[in-house]
Amino acid sequence: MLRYLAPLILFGAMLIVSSARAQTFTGNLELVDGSRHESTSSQKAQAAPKTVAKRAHFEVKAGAKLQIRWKITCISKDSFKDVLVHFYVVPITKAGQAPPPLDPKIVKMESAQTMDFSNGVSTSAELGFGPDEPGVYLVQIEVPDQQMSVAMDLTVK
Amino acid sequence: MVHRLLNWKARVSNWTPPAGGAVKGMLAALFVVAMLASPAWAEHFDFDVTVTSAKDKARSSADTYPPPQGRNPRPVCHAKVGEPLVFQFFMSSNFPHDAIKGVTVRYFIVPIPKVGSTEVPKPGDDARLSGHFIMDFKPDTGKVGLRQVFHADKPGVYLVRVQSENSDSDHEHFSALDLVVE
Repeated sequence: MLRYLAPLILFGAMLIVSSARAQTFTGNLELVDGSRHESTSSQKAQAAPKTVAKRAHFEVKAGAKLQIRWKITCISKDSFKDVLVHFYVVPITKAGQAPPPLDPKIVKMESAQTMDFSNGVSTSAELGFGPDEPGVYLVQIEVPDQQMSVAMDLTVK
Repeated sequence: MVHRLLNWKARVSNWTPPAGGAVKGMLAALFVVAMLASPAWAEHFDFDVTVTSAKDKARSSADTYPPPQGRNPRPVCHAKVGEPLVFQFFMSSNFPHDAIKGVTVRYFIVPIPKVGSTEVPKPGDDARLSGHFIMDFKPDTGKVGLRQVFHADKPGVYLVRVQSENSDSDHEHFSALDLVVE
């Protein structure tokens, strides 16, 4: 039994180390509507995203003037060149739905930027967004190459 | 390196408005602007700003301030109240020497009294859109882009402007156009 247990423990330790190494960036996302706000922070993206995920949630009335704030920070000791930072707001059919294909005809807002990162280097944004149509929206900031994302569901009533 | 570049290009392709050929035209325009830029001129950023309505589209490129309203006349886009409009911009560094750190890239769409007005209002509660990014711009590859759908619910003239701030220079750069909503 022990001869099987040792390799298993070693394998588990390798997985933990590998996972810890993969966390190279952190992110924060905050939605603000006047005095109300909701914030969430990054998690390591899963290789196979669940069909329905549990995400932070914020609800506003149609016509609200939202401020979307995000910040991405490199926490790795390594340096990364020409990193793509990608942000979008897209309608989804229900809260927790996996990100749909980003068809320009339905995407309400999208940004992308490339810059170099080393330990402690960050980028941030504060973006105005006024959703007019009721529905559920996915608000997501991500660093695709580093499998890092921060997401929130926005319900507009 | 290559796949990151492809990611960016794919993203640019995704941002293409429904009208075909826009990206090729935009990239060609950016290329021409880049090739024509004189080293003595020493512009730090390239801009490509567009507003697209159902029947019109206006595009603007880089200008400098001071003076606040810049040196070039602004293109004009015409639109109807309530119709969906697409605001899009790309801003990239063409400063060849070093990374420019901590640059604020601010954009806003605000009412102005008339087309060509020299006034540059600060974005307040009456802004149709506003926001900013804070980021570093590396030579050649440092860039940011935004595409956002919006509408104007009141007739009038609006200033559409994207500008650099805190770029560690004696002058800043911007790109602007006017939006006339009837």
